Amino acid sequence: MLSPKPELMQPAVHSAADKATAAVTKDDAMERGHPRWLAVVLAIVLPIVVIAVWQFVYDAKVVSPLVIPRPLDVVTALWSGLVDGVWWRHIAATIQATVLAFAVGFLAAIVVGSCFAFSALARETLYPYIIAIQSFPKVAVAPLLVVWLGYGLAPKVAIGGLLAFFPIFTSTLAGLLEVDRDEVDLFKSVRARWYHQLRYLRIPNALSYIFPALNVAAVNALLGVIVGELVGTDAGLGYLISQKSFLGDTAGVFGVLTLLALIGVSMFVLIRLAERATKFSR
Amino acid sequence: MDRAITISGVDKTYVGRQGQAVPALSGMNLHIGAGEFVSLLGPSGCGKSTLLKIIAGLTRPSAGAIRIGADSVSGPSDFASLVFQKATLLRWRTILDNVLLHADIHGGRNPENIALARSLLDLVGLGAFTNAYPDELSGGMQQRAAIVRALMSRPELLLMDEPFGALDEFTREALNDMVLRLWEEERKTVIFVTHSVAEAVFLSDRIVIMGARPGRIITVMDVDLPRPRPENIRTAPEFYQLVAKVREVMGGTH
Repeated sequence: MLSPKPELMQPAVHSAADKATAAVTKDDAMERGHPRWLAVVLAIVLPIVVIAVWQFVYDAKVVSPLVIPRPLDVVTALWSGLVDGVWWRHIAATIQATVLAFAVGFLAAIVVGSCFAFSALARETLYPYIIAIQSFPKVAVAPLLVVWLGYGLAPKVAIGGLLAFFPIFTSTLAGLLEVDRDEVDLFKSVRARWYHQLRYLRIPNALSYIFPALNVAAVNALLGVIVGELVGTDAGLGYLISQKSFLGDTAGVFGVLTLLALIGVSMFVLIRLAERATKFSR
Repeated sequence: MDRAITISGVDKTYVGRQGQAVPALSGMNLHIGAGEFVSLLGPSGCGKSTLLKIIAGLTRPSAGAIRIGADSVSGPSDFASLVFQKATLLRWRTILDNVLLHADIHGGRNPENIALARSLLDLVGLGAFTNAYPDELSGGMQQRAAIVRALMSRPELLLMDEPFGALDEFTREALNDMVLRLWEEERKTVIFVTHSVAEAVFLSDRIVIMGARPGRIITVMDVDLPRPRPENIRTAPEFYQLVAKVREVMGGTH
């Protein structure tokens, strides 16, 4: 039985070599440093400059207002769309479809990814086809999906789900399979059963692969949903964009695009928060 | 009961890519007494790690057998613990959680094994890092945590596979001192794979010098330095003489 003898190891512990390497420093970045305030100031100045140039281009009348609207008109369009309440139906439709598409793509990716990870037969048989589908421009099947699944929620969720599937599928597969040889030996040497290896090694490893993929998957889900809405539905921000551009309401289109950017950023932030809350991002 | 380790007639042959037989170990015979510190020293490809894995029960020999006392090794057991060259700490677990892996797999945590983990981490100087994650620690600190993890199952045999091979000289010497103190304290049997002559001489009772292609034992040398060994024995003339003698024997293995 080992007993604590703190004095035993003290000299070894505080060796200079340890201390030097214990802290990770940022000094080894390749570029020269810049003051923190500079980045903050530039980040604030950049949109002001962009909007100023935009306003200038509009005032100079070098392009038609149909191509580039007045910045203030975009704000007005956004404001009236939100306050009059006409847009909320579309915002709700897009968010609902995106969340559903993400959930469907996520679940399918986890299930199929796990099957592939645990069956070499499935892997070897189906992998060429998965690659084929992955390389295929999936948005091209959107019109067909509308024909098959009808006008409404189903085709949007199908395209969004298909696009969300792949990043999560590949990371699930890689995360479950790509464990270190020594790690497997370690688990064998402590007589861990397969379910121990799954619980303590492969699933946490897979999660550390999956979390970074969720952002890409969420953006893909939104992309798929918008494509679905452009092709054929009567609700959603994609539908709104096609309506507005048909009517020549460029300011309205810009307004909707601003909303989409906001939705995209919100998803990014939500996933980041979820990632922070777990420790698997390490 | 005598828990000596007997390696008798062990061969290991792998099947190569073209289906040809690749001999990794050939005709290994070795007896290691309980509580002995033995180093396996040799060039890469001499089958040191393979032998260690066979003793650990992770790999089966193609011929021959390993016996611990009277029992034949047929698979991994709590008798032996492994320390790898890489610390192989799970990056999503804190140091304390990593060290408690064995407890999590076998019967769960209890006040007793948590106390043991904390006291061992204190012992190796990681008492302040129990809640740190592996990537926040230096290579030497990670390896100390890996040694604590190996001790948690209370093994009688510690199998160390080039545990300090990736560390710088100073950290390596500090950890050599630590291992030596731990061993003097506990007198566990240690089989230590290394390709550092100085490390082998400093730590061991006996050095098994191995040759490559196929992996085999060239000779076994006794290290007749006094015990307990002070750290400054590294600068003593008899230490240098032993290092020179080992190098001389190894000269013929390359």
